[in-house]
Amino acid sequence: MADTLTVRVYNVRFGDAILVTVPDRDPASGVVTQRRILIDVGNAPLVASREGGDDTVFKAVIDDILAQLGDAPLDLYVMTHEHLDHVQGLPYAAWKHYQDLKDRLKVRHVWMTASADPGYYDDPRHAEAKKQKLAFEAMHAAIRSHLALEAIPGRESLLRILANNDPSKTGQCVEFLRALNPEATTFVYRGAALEGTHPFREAKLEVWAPEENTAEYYGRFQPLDALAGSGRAGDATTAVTPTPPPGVDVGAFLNLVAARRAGIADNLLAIDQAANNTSVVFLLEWRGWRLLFAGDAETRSWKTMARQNVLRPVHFLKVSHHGSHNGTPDGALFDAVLPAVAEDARPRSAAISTWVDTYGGIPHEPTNGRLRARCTLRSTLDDRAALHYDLEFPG
Amino acid sequence: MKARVPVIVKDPVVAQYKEIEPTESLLVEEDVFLDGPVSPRVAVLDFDPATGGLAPRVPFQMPQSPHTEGTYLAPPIVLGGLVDPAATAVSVFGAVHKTMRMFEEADALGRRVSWAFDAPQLLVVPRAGEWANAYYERESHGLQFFSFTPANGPTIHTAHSQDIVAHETAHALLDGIAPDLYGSVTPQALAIHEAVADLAALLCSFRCRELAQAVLARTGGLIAKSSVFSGLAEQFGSALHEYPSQLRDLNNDKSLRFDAAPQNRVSRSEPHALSEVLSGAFYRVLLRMYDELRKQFAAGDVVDEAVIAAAESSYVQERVDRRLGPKKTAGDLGKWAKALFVAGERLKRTLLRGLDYLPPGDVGFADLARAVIASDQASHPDSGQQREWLREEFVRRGIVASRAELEVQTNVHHDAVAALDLAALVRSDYAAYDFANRNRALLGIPEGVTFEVRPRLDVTKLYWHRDDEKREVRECLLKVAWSEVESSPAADGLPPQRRVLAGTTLAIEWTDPPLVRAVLTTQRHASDRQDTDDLILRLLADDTLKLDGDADSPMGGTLRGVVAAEVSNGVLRVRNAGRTLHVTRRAGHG
Repeated sequence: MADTLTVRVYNVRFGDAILVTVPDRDPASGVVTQRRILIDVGNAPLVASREGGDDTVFKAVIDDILAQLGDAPLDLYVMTHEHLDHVQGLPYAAWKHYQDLKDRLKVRHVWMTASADPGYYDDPRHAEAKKQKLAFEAMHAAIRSHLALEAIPGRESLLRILANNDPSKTGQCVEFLRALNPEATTFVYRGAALEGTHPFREAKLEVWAPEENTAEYYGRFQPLDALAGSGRAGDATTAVTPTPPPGVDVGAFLNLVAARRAGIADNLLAIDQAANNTSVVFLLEWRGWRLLFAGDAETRSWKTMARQNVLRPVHFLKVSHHGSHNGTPDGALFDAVLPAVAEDARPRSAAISTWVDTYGGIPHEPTNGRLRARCTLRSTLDDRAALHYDLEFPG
Repeated sequence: MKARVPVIVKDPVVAQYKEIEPTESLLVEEDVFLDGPVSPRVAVLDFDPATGGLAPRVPFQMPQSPHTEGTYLAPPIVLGGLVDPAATAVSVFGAVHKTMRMFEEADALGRRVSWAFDAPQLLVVPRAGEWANAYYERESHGLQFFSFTPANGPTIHTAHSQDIVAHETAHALLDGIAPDLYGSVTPQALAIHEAVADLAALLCSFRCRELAQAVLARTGGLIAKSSVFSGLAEQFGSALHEYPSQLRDLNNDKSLRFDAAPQNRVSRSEPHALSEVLSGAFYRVLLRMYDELRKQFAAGDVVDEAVIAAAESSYVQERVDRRLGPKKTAGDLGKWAKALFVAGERLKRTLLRGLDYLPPGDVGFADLARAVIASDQASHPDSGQQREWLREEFVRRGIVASRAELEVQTNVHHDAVAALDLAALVRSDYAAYDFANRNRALLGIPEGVTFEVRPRLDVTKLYWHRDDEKREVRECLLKVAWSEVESSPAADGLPPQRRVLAGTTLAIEWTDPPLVRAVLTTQRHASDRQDTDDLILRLLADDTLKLDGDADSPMGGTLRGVVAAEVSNGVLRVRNAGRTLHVTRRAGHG
């Protein structure tokens, strides 16, 4: 299959690990080299014994990646964004199974999302993003303390989102990835100079997202009732469940108390979405094929891409955010990437990497339906026992 | 039972530099008062920001005898000083009751307003957390008042601003009067909520005797010179630096007309900005009424009956004497105070009764304008000067294209209405539905369309006529509503159509035989549809509007910060757009 581009989607349960093998012809010499891009390796944190966070799956995945590489180097590793379900696979494998993983992978180039640059938030141009990030981290800490103290409706779901956004755990993984090849690591964004940041001669790479200034990916917080144990001066160390005073309807009172804490979910989702929206979204063009790898970009990022006029029809879509509705917004945004009428006769396909019972609303059957109406849809759920599935694009 | 309650007049910083007494003493009358403060219709729940638990309740001291008043035992509020949370709780309790009383008086709605939620008490949270905001939320039955600390200034507590408390209470009351506004996605319907809340805050400040006297004395009776009344929530607004010194300025020339001066044009899809057109129109009429009365009172106590009827004059004099004392009304200041009081009461009556007449559904400013004209005609048939000014303002600001659009038939005989058993109509849903179904033409209900009948209102209000003493008039208000489907903008996964509500109010005078007081049906124009398109697209772009499951919270129910919409059979239905009044990106009180 020397003249076939292959997209291998690994079954890492709820997470992403994608190996793209590209026969790359040198225009000068005509020599074709099999070059490989590895996009993210990770899965959801193991919370509440959910299958989606089963880390034992990484061993076989890494084994296969190394087998695919043989002695060849990994040409490009892409870390789309700083979420555990996208970053923890390589560090986990290195700590557990392959202490020499870095040497075995021989990563030539690394792309990481712009805000993963250690100096990103010290840049005065990113002062607003820094302010937002600090506020989000403080909110994350407050909610974590509160959830540890009080059982509230939907606690399990909230803990999963909380864990996936844990800045300390994610930070360790990101640090590992920065060290894969520090001299050849590029923090990418739309408009960044890409020359020399990858080895491709024939294939073309184009970054559609994120924007360099990530401030616009942060949503707003809902105000919250005092969160027990949130670390602020005077905070209680145990959760206080207020009791209704005499003369006040008990049901109405408890409804009010619940409403005042309901913003926890909004705020956790805002934290989650802000990170997702910093995903590196890039287009790979090769011999007429257009393949889009969308990370976990959600609605706000897609809207920004539309505003920046970068969206174009593609033949392959790595479905964003494990098949959530927010990852593949409907309407004009969807039509821009997978129009109802294809531009040419090439077959179109999409790939989902996901698992069940991990995050609410994912997988999202109406979104799958929309995708199936436009292209062939493959999912890691098609054969849950399989290590991977492949999509091929003949040259 | 009565309770004497100290209420913060203006936020303490404003009070200090305006040299105004920081509090006024209000008398609240309720069946019972409990520690809290708690009354049968209002409960203040003071959550301690540090713990999330309730702070100690403020004790109520019972009256010492049947003819005296009880009181809440909170530390006093001192000019420029810190306000104890217990005093804040008591103040906000009083300010909420003050606003309620203003709406419900016999010379306004003449009835107790039922909350839009199914519970007897409005739950008021004076220390809701850190945020530059305050809001009414139907879903949690409550008012939430936040605090914030601007970069260069002391912490601002929104619960200390009587303007803001009155504003939010008015939202709650208006939701009880016209619940469809909260669920409407028509920008003008949401803007009515804002404008009425702003005007209610204005009227509450008029009712503060000390404040009114201070402003009149300082301005020489020319209140248009001062922003104390027309500028809402000065401390809050200046801290936000959104406006020169206040949150919104009612003394404006904002307009819907396309040929308006650029500085007076507003975004037709932004409810807060849009509201200034409506509130500005009413405020301008109020100023004209005040100036006219000021001149006439200066010449003597007899006023042109085109402005106020004789019976109303004597009623007003009685109330002014009671409020100010006969001696205080003698000089210029007293006459100005009297003029201000009358002008304020007129605006209150006209506006609030107009809301009672407002048809249900996705209404616009023009619908409210017609309802206001009709209600004013009913209240003051022989004193039409204010109606003329209102008509002029509504046309001048492009709320209607011409005076002809404001024509409403009032006081007409209708055979079916004359034959009505009104007691049965009020009591029986079946009787009301049957009447409406048999009289679709009268009520504007399209043939073949299913409709719903709202609970009827049986209200008794004070009316004034030229040759009559004040008299109580009993009215029955029948409201019917039905759905209509219109096209939606093609964008971002929206279905091609959306559902809007249309409706009619039939006001019937409870005479023998019953008389049609007014029939008002919603009139929706192409511009309303375009404005609705723009608002929906803006909410989508802002990630505020979420369709179906996207609005679901992992904690159950709907995410708190979103406007939820349902799609059924390709038709969009927005459920709680009223949330945009406090969840917009723009900081402010909703």
